[in-house]
Amino acid sequence: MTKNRQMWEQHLEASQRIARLGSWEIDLTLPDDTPGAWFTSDETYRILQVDKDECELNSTLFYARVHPDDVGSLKEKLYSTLKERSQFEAQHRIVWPDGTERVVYERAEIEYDETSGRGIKMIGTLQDITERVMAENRLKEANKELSMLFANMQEVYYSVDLTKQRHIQVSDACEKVYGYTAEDFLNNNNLWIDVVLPEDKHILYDNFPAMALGKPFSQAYRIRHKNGEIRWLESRLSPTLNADGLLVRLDGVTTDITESKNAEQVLMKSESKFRSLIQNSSDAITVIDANEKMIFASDSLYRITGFTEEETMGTDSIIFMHPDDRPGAVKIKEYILTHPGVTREYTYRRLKKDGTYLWAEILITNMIDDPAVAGIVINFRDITEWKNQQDELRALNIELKKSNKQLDSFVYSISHDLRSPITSMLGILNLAEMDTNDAELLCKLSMLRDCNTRLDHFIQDIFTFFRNARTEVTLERVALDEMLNEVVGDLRTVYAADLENKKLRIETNVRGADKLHSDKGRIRVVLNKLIAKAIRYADHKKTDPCIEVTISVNEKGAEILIKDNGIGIAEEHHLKVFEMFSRVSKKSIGSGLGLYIVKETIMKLKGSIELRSGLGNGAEFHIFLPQM
Amino acid sequence: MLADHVKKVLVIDDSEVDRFIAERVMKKSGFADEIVTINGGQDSLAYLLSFDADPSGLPELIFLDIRMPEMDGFEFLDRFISLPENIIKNITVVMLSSSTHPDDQRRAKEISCVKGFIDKPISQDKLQQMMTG
Repeated sequence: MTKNRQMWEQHLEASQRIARLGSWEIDLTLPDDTPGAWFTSDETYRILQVDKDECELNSTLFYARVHPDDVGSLKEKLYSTLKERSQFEAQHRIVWPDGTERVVYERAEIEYDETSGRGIKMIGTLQDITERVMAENRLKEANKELSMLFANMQEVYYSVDLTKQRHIQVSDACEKVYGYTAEDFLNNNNLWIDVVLPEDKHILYDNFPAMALGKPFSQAYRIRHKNGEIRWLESRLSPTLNADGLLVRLDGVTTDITESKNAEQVLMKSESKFRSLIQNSSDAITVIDANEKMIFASDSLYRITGFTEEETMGTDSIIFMHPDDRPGAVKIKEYILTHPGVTREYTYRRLKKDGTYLWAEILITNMIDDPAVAGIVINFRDITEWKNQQDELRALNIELKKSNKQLDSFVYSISHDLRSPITSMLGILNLAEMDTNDAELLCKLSMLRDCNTRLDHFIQDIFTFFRNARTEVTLERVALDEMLNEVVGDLRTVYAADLENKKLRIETNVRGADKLHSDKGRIRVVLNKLIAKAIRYADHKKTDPCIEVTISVNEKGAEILIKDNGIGIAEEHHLKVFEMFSRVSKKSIGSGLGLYIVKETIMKLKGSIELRSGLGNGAEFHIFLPQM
Repeated sequence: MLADHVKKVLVIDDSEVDRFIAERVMKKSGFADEIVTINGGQDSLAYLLSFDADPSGLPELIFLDIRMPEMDGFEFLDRFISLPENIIKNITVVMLSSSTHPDDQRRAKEISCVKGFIDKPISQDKLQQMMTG
């Protein structure tokens, strides 16, 4: 019996150790901390980390182990248990002497004295549940994270019990994706199909057979969001069959793919635009390998050349070239083979199916090293039309130059033939003037001479104007001092009588050794016209009639000043004098073209002219001619 | 450019009026002792060639019109410079024209025997200028 009891005690102790469950008994009739009032099992000592051999567990020692924050609530619970005669149950923390915190769970029963109603004995258990609480906390944490993840996801997770046609669960993301809450879906089993656009519902129905077979599948379709927007969704579904092969459950994930779908559509649109551009233009893209075999060609090439894909692909591209253009192409190929990535241009004649040639302009780039291309890329353009137009233009240009020259010599003939009788008449007039002393006759002869001279100038002006307008500027280095001497020399001959009669002086002064890069013929026209004008309009009443021509040349150009003290031009006529056929007074003896030609000629030389004058006060023409 | 006094002048011009003017102006100014006028280049070449044996009768100066029918002034010059050296060596040519075309003046300058260019009508002043210039 004793042996049995001993075994029983050993067995109990082992059980308590394994379960980490200690037991205790308190005699409530004795005052607190009376020795022998607490009877506790060895496991209770271990749980509380109290050395049984050193001291006996009592109330003070016990509360010393309880976590300070839990003491109050534990005592409170104990008093209310005693008061209400209920069962005692508490979970609280204890702190070991080394600072380790543990969690314990206590349950106890109280025996009461039936007559006094006071508690006389309390029997309870103390269990170390630290590991379990920690595991529970970890689980709670994980759960919390999972539900946060769930709530933040853009994908809707859902499960449907198909035996009851009911949603088992729908994740909160459904509100973002559909605009409807999870509750909406749980309350309306058909909502998920009601929102699908009518024209896309067939996509869902088409997948029902696969679903019935238990095969996972995915589908993309459009829905109308609660806010009215149309959204693209993609669902991946996993059906579950029961042992009898009947569909019982459906689990799925639905994702909003609107953005990627839109991007895809934009891409498709631009791709098709690009494609049609390539296919319909006079451009083509071809790729050849290092052996000149065609390995890719855009469809437009077949349309442009008339050759089919079968006739083109794999064929040596050089055979489509005009034989005369092949050597040039070979050189280009040799160059680009050693210069990857460098683009070269080439124009050649390309054979068409009908045997004729088209003019092709190509940009050729070696992209053999580029794994995405692995070939020589040729951007091909049919420039036949352009080339023909160029040839036509060139022929037209030659024709124009020819007719220009013909016109030039025609005008020359006309001017000469018109001038001839006039110069003859002027010659005869000169002779007649020499042969008579009849004053009246001399007067009339002089008038006749003036008329003829004016007509002669007019014809010459027309010719000069015509030449200035029609001929190109011919540039050379012009020594202005030499030219001025020539012009003045010529004018002295032509106007010998005027110079003599008016006692007119012509002074010239050229500063700067630079030459002027310009059109010699045109500068001569300008100087000749302006100085001749100054001679014609010199004022013989002046005490010292004089014309001063000053030229200074530098690296920018030439400044020319032609200054006279002649009859001058009234200010109101200053703008008008440069107009065509302007004659400011009846006394004007010119053609009315002179200053217009001067201005037009200076324009051709990219220069400028300015007139400063007043009636009776002479005139100054300030000219600037740039180095051209 | 020329001696003060010219012994013999040849005027080649298809215009009778211009030949008359030239002759009269030169006579009046005493420009030359002898003035010969010929209508056209062909007859002029024949006239010059007639002095092959005796060049002493050749003119020193020729006034040459440019625009003439059958043979123009430049064509005449081409033939003229191909004449025997003894004929042409002492002859100076002056163009006498109403041409305003710069090309004519430029072409004339390029020919070595051409020493001047007078714009019609010829006058005493122009002759004087030519002699002094």
